[in-house]
Amino acid sequence: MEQKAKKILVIDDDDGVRRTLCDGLRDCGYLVWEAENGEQAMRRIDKGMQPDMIVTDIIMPDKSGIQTIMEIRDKYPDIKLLAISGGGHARNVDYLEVARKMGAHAIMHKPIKMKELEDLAREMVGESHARND
Amino acid sequence: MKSVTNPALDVLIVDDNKIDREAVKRSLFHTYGQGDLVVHEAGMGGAALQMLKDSRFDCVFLDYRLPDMDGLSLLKKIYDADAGLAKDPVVLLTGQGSENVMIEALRSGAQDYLSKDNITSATINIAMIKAREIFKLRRSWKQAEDRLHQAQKMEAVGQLTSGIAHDFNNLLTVILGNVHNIRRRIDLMNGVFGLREIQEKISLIESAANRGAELVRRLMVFTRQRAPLPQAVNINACIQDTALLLNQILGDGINVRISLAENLCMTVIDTGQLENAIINMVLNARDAMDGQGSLGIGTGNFFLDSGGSDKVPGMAAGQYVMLTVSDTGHGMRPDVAARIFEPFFTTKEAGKGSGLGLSMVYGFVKEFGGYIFVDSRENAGTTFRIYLPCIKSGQNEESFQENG
Repeated sequence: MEQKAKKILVIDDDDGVRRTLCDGLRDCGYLVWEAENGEQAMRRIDKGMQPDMIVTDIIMPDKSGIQTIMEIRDKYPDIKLLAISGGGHARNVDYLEVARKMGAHAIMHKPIKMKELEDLAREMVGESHARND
Repeated sequence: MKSVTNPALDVLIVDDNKIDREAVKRSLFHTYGQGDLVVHEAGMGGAALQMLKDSRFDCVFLDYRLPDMDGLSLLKKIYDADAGLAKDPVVLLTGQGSENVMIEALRSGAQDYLSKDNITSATINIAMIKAREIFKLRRSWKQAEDRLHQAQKMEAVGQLTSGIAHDFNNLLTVILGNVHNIRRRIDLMNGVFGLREIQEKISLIESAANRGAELVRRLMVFTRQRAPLPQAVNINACIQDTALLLNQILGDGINVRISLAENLCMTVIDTGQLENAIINMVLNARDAMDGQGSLGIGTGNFFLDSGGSDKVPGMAAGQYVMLTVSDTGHGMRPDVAARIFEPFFTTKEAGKGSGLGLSMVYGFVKEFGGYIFVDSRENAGTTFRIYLPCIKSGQNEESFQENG
């Protein structure tokens, strides 16, 4: 029985982080594409590249992760959202907590543990067996 | 004037002229009864300095002209010793009443001045009251200033930390993530020659990066950039975990004694921070012992009833878990012991200590409503005592774990 490949979009302005997360998720069989910021991500999704899950950093130039999360929740309520952040507080406000309140289904502090990310992806969208050559 | 239940005031009169000393004394006793005032006298600056070092006075009357040094230099000596604030109020007595001397006296830190031509029971009493009040004000001002400086330092560390932490966590994500990704690829290459060695090297990278991650996490907790994870625990378990590391930290010449109380109360803390605190105290103990000596770690239940608060100054009554870390090292001078919890204060040479270790311990103890005290004697050793509040009966573990 052929299972449909699950698609994940990774948004992070840090090249190294983005590539690392993408590589790991691809190795697990997901179909992965990436965006450097929220703006770019939204353009791609609006063009029809709609993923099953989005992993987004919170603090980014241009469109912040929080804005991106809110926009996606409105337009594409089916997409699962994971917010990640390397820490950062504004006064007593934890950005990841804000992200959760704004509709992120899960949050994760950097440094990201790949094993946890992969387990979470499985939990949120299920297994995937895409060919990533 | 003074009620009989108050202890007598200790006044020091520093003047080489016996007649002048008598005049001040007489004027004072005109106002105060014999039981209310104890007068101490010094005829030379050197003797006065020694007395000021050894004991405290409620007021010092200091002559401007002394045979071995003038009053202003003596003032400067007293004040320099304690970073801007002498420990006793001072009234400078001037012979000729020159304006310049008076201004200089106030600038040098005296609280008031009085011309010798003008010594009466009224003027001397007013000068003393004024000096004591001004002194009290200046002291609370200085304490507020010290607290402000401490807060500013912490804020600076906080800003620095959050800036660095964000970048560091990205770097660590890349390092640890690729360790993970490489390992998975290697697992598919079973049987390739030299694989075992590669795996070992990858493990080295991983454990170094994990240490880096832990360091960033601790710094963020310390500077409140990340909330700690409070848990209800028996701290004996944390000590046993940490104990495994102690021999590595301490080396062979130092003997470790651990005595953990049975039936220890539960307390609410972040276990990572407690372990970090123990390690910081142990590192200081190690450096104080130069490779030889003994280190003691102990726990116990401690009850402070409301009547006994004076036994432990500033501590609220209640049930506590006590943790002690003691060493037989070279100890500290009182002026050093008084400053060890300040951020960036270090006695170690540049590059050897950050000056943050013990201030982290202090921050951790305060975070969880506890108290920390240090007892140190030069050439005898140092003991840290930490008191952490016990969980009150009726509170259970679960109620603390939701905050995480």
